[in-house]
Amino acid sequence: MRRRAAVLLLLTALWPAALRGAAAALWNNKIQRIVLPNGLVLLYQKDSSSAITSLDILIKGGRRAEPEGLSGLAYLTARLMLEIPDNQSAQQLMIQASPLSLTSQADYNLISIDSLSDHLEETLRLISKPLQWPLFTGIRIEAIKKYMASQRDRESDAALGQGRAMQLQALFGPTGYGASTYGTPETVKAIKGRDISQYYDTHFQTTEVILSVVSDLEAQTISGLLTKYLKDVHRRQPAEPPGRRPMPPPAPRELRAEKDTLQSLVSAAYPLPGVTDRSFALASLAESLLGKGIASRLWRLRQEEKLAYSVNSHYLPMKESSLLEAYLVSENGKKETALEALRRTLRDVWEKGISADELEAAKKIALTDLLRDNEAKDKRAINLAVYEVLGLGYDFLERIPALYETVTLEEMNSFLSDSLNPERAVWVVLAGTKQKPGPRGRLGLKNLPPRPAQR
Amino acid sequence: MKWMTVFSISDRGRRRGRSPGLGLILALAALHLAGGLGQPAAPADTPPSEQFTLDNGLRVFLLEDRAWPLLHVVVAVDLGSKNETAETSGLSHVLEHCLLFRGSQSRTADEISRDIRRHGAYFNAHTGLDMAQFELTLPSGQDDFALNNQKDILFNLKLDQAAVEAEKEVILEEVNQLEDDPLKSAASLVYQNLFPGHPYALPITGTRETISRLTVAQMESFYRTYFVPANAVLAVVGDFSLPEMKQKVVKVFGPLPKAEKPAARIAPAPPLKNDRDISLAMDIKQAYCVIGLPGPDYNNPDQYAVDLLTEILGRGVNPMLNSALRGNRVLVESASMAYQAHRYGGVILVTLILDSGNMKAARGAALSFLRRARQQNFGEDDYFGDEKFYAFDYLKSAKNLIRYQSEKSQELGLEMAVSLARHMILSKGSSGQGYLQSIGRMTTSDLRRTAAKYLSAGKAVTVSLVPSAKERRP
Repeated sequence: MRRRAAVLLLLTALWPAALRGAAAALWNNKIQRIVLPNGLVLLYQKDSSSAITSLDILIKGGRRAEPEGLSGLAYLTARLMLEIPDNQSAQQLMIQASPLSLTSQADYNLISIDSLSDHLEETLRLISKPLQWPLFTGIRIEAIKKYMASQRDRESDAALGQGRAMQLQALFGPTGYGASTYGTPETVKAIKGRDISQYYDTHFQTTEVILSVVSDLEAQTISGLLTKYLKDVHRRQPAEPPGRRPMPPPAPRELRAEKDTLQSLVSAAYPLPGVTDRSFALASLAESLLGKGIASRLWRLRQEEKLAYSVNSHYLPMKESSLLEAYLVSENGKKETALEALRRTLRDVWEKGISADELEAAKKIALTDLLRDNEAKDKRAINLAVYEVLGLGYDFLERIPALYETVTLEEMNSFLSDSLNPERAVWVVLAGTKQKPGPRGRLGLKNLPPRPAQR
Repeated sequence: MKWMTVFSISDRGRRRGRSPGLGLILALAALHLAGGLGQPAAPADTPPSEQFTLDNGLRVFLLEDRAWPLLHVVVAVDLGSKNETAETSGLSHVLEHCLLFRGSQSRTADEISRDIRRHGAYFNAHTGLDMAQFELTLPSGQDDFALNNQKDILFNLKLDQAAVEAEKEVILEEVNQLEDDPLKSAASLVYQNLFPGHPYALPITGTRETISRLTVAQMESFYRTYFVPANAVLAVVGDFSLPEMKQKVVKVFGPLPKAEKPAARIAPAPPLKNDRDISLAMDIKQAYCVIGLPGPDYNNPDQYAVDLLTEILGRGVNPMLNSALRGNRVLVESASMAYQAHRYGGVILVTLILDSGNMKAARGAALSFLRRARQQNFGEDDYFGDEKFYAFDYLKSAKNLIRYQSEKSQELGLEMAVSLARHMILSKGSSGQGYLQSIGRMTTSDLRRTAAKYLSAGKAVTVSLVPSAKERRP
């Protein structure tokens, strides 16, 4: 361990000046971990780039903690926590102009509040009520269940969303990792008020919540406000957690479905082990070299083979088992060629590995993506909290650039050899069935004179 | 790696045609653009910035922002679908692709790709109705590469038939993707029908037919006309030293030869004479309805009131339109509104996501609500006596939202660079007032007057996308 730290320090010192500067600036303002009087953990970073405070309330659990047969419960519960109890409070919140959003993921729910810093206190005063004393009434529950049904439909209207859902289901089916955020009609119908109360009581308590703030306000001000307005989040006796369903062993398979579209989605997904410092760095670099930016491996399928406009890769880190996905979206007539090309590309990386130059380029692309992804306060606040809940630590953001640098070619190729084994992949072909329209197309030049009249 | 957002009470992520969020930046731009070099300095707490024009006519805006170690370089060219005809529709977009991905006189496509990757750069471009923008973001300290790369790809064109044909094939995939996306399809159809007879009606990507027919000669002719320094702007934002960056910009872009800026002979978009109603079936489970109305152009002072109306009626936290369509009878799952300001006209877009069984009622209710918007009370000033106590001040809420967006936009360097470039291309000059000041002056009467002009009187284009028979829910 000590040896690895020494190597890390040495590599940090040897970085090109530009990258060293880039990484150093990430922790110009150190990330602090503060424990509030009631035991809530606050992660805080000062940032004066705008007069905005980004606050995230991460609640551990997520879909993984849903009891069997009740998928959708995590989202439904968290969504109810944002229901403003009365009209007057709702109007006062509207005046504050503080956007609220909710993300429900495999390992956590995340409530995000962005606020003009001079409106933070009033926003907290208003939102802290439903957070700490939510109303789980029948009318509210039914309204949100209906909303979830429409979101489920909307998710499936996008081929990519439908394809990813098929992959997650195939890889992690019964574990919660494979379930839809919005559940199924049957599971959502089965959720009762007492299930919601139990989920809330189990998870919205001091040991299960992480607060994350990036703000131009001082740490003392932030911790004072959060102490005042979240004082009724208590340490409770946790309810009995649902029995954890074991992750299924990886099994290769090819899933096919049809959609009446002009294009087909062709994708491959590989299950990865639960996230650690090293696996996060390695998988992020694999994501970069496979499908991020021009001259990535998948880019060749677009640039040279002209098989697609969209090629991409996606790393989804989760606590117990992560996911690495590569895909392209291709015209229906090319889908089998696209599938073969994707198989060939991924097999090539798996069998032969990558070169030293390719690894160096992937490190630089990954660093830029990291910087871009953390430039805005709201995204950074989310990342700080998520790194903490994934077990990577609140200061992980500061350590990632150095971690990338410590990855050797041997380690990277060994990771690719383990991870991209075709035996472990799930392939999805969401085949479009729509015929190619005529040259003028469905969106073609309708109602137009031969040339614009005003020229 | 991204985390997925699945619920948002307000729509905070959408970039709009105008740059209302850039309060500080546009104030700076106004200061510089109004007076040029040597004019009054910016207030002490604003970041260092400078605007100047090179001898060859290239307009440059530099904004030093050392808060985050990234450098953003955006070159925008005054060229878009507005410059096309029915025959050349899609040409600007194909040209943009070829410039970005098919090599220059000095480097092959492979060499450019490798250079981009070696420097860890984000590299992209977008073509719109009015302009094409070429974006580069990379870790700071790589100024020379960033400037030279952008100059090389944009002012050193090499085209050959094989490369153009290869890129056309990729673009046809993009056209397919657009047509498979319900909301993008609907928005495209709105534009095509909202500006009959005007180049804004041409689809930005072109059609399969026009793309296939485009020749290298046509593209070279377009390139020679429009890719000259006097027809372009450069915006550099991020972690650099302003005096050093200015020297580098002069050194890299200064030697480009001077050429005349092409004359613009495009008239403002004509008014829409009749309502248009289009309905299509797709393989979707939800139904989508997009309503488009003509709005003010980029330089029209009505834009401030339309920005506020958009927040009040269809964005923000619990907007009026949402309340109207999700009241006693829930007609839609969501309702939102956006405003896109272009040089020769604007578009106000209302988007409804709903169950297809409610389409007719929801569409009617939305149009009726828009027509009645001029009668709404928007703020406390519209009430008297005790009524004020119970009234909700939508105007105050919207002004706060725009102030929030203004602050938010300062966190993203690339967004600032793009907005600056867009402002330099589209702005006819400064009114002398900052954007936020103009927003601050708006009253509820201004909003009703503007609603009467654009929402109540104007004709509308409505595009409805419904699930094809097999997808309909029982």
